[in-house]
Amino acid sequence: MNWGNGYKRIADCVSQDDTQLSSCPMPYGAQISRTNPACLVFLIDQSKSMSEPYGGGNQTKAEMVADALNRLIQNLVLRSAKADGVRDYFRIGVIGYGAGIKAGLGGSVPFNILLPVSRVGNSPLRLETRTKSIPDGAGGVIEQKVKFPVWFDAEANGQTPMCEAMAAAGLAVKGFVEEFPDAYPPIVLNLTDGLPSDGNPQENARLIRKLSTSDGEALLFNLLISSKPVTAEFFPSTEDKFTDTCSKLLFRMSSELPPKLWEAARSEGHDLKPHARGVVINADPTAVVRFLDIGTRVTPSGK
Amino acid sequence: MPASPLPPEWISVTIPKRGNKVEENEDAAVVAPDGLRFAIADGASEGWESGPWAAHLSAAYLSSPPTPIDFTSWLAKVRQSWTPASTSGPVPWYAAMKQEQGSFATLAALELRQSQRMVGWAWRAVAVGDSCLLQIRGKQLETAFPLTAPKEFSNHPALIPSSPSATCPEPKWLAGRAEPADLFLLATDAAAARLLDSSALPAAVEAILDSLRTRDPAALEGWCRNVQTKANDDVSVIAIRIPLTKA
Repeated sequence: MNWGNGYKRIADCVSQDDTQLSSCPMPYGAQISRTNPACLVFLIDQSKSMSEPYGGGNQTKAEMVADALNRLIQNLVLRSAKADGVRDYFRIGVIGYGAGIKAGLGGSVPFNILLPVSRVGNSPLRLETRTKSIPDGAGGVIEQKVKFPVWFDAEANGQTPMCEAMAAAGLAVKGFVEEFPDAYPPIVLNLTDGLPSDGNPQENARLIRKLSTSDGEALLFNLLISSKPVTAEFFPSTEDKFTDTCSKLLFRMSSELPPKLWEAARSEGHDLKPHARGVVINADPTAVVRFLDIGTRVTPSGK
Repeated sequence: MPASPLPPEWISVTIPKRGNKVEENEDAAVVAPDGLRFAIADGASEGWESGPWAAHLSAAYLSSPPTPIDFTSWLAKVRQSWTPASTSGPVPWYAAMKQEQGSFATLAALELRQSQRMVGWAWRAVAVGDSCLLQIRGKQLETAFPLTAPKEFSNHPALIPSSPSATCPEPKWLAGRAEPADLFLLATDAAAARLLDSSALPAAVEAILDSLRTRDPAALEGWCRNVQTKANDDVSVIAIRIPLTKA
């Protein structure tokens, strides 16, 4: 019988494919659930140099990073929110390092920095109303008022105690893997604009990367914010291009991207080579947002 | 006057993720009272009220299946009649934002009709996203729609949004004929991916035929729970068998 126009005929369709599903669990494949949440730790450089404007604009590097982080936290809360409340798919920690080391979401460094996403969602510092430009559908833009929750304020003061911040992150990660030994491995994202002032953090970085769950070793990703509007270098697989010490240091401290994040970065248009590392050099505001997005591309199973 | 054909036999199973409550199941699997329309929908885990939206979409298909010609107006009506549960008192910021974003779900649906000019049955299907329809003849996969292989599944399937301002991905449409004893399976993603694994299909067919024969969903439910050992997802399957003989 004829069902009318628009339906494909069976003969036009492909049928069976014998691709096999893997029966072995892969590393970095743990499902994220309320019983096995994902751990995300953000290390934010709050040194004096972060008060410099990015690319000669009005916004400082510190403000740009704070906006990106607040937007990401908002996104994590929204991904976890259900009609019955926010489900604890994530533990989130923020460590600011500058004039001191502090827990950016409240709590105390280092043992009390990881908060369940439900607690984070219910306790922003304030709810700002911001103006967003959106297309009007006729080639122009209109301004729309939107709510913008703020958890983390921009701050720029003092030096760059990255070693101390990494050591604090290591302790937080250690506590997490002991509590959730089968969870997706913790992800630590370090955002900085320069060299550490308190020594070489490579050993602290190595100690973080050695901490593991049954699903794999903890992941450490790094991002270097540029003061100048130059092209960002995403997820390199070698340090050959880098001529400065800071880029080389961040590259050496960074974990290789696991398969799903590698695929996520590639699907965002990055030309990735095998063994690409989770590092972005010369990041502009867009690169910061993309780094945070790809570096935290872990999806709750809904449980 | 030709005798009326026997109606198709069907059996349906939908189970929530391991560790979740029944009411947390965001899949919907529904069958029309006449046993000729079937729909399955998978509410997006990160959406708002996705389970009820999946139920609303699939129920709307049963009462009035869309065609390629009228899908846009059909969806407009479905969205208009969608009333997600409202909360009393102040709404947290995240609830307000999620409500504004709306709900999302996949859909795969099948309609069977006795051929008017030829002996046998005709069918037509619509799908958005990675909920799938499979047609099995003997023990072989005859048709898979809209996805055809496990590797095509991802975390970002096409979804039907509830918000009138959101663009709906283009639905896929397929029509064909069924022979006596053909088996049709509607399945949400985790089950569909397993059914499209050729090495796993025979065990699934065996469980389904067992459930159809005994009219007891236990065997099919056992197979669905086995699917969850590899992918802890809500799992839903509707199995429909075309009758062998006329009454």
